[in-house]
Amino acid sequence: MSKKIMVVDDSRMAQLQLQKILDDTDYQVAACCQSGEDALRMYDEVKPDLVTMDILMPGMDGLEAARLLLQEHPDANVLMVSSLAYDDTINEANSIGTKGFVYKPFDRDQLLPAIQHAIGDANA
Amino acid sequence: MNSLPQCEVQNVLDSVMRDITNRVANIQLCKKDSVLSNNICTVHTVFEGNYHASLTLCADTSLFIRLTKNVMQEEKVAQKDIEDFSKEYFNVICGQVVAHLFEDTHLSSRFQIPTFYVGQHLPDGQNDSRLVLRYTSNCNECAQLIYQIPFLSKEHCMDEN
Repeated sequence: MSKKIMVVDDSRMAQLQLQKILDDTDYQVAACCQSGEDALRMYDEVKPDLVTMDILMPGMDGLEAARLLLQEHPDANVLMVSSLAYDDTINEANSIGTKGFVYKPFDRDQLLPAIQHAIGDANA
Repeated sequence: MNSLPQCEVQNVLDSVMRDITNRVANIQLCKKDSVLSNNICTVHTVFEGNYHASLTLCADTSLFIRLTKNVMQEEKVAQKDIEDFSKEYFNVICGQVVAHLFEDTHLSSRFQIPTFYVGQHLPDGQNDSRLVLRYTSNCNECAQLIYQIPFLSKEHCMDEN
């Protein structure tokens, strides 16, 4: 059974790129959210195996959304996917308890191992 | 950043602009004095945090269209696709600029969600300091990346100190 991924990114292009990369894999994009608020609202309904989270979005930023999500669901797997990748944001993401950081622009070779690692899915 | 050497900022902007355009859409840009056509679009953002500046990319619409086509791998793209892609492309450029400047200066910053305009849209600020990088693509499309530092009055500088 394919693993469910919830993509949280306000950019339709980023959503499209993720979808294309995941198309012929064991992962399926189960939901796309355009904001952190949407992600918090939809998490219980979607019950994803992994959440990919952008940082810069309208309203709540992705780090704050990840923090709140993990407070409410400590077992959630959150993978940050952002161009805002430097010590401050990476350290903050680590301290919150996210499972990794993929830098934009990403490609298949960067994204898939990061997803596998975040889910703890060595055989995917 | 306002105290950063201009050549350092220029080097970061130039390397990020060329690298990201090549990696994202396989389009090569070379630095060259060039004149934009009459059909251009603009993406713009403002950096906030430990430094304040704005970054604006004005480019021939044909360049934005080709970038979008290459990334989407589609022959036809809609205006909404061009707008969405241009904002995401610029978002990646800005993120990389912030990350590289942090490496050099240990000053962190965030930036506002980029906005897209049809036509030219330059930020106000007659007294601001401007750094303009001009590019031509391998298909002769032109682009200008404009980095603008706000003018600080003497009173403002004294207040900050």
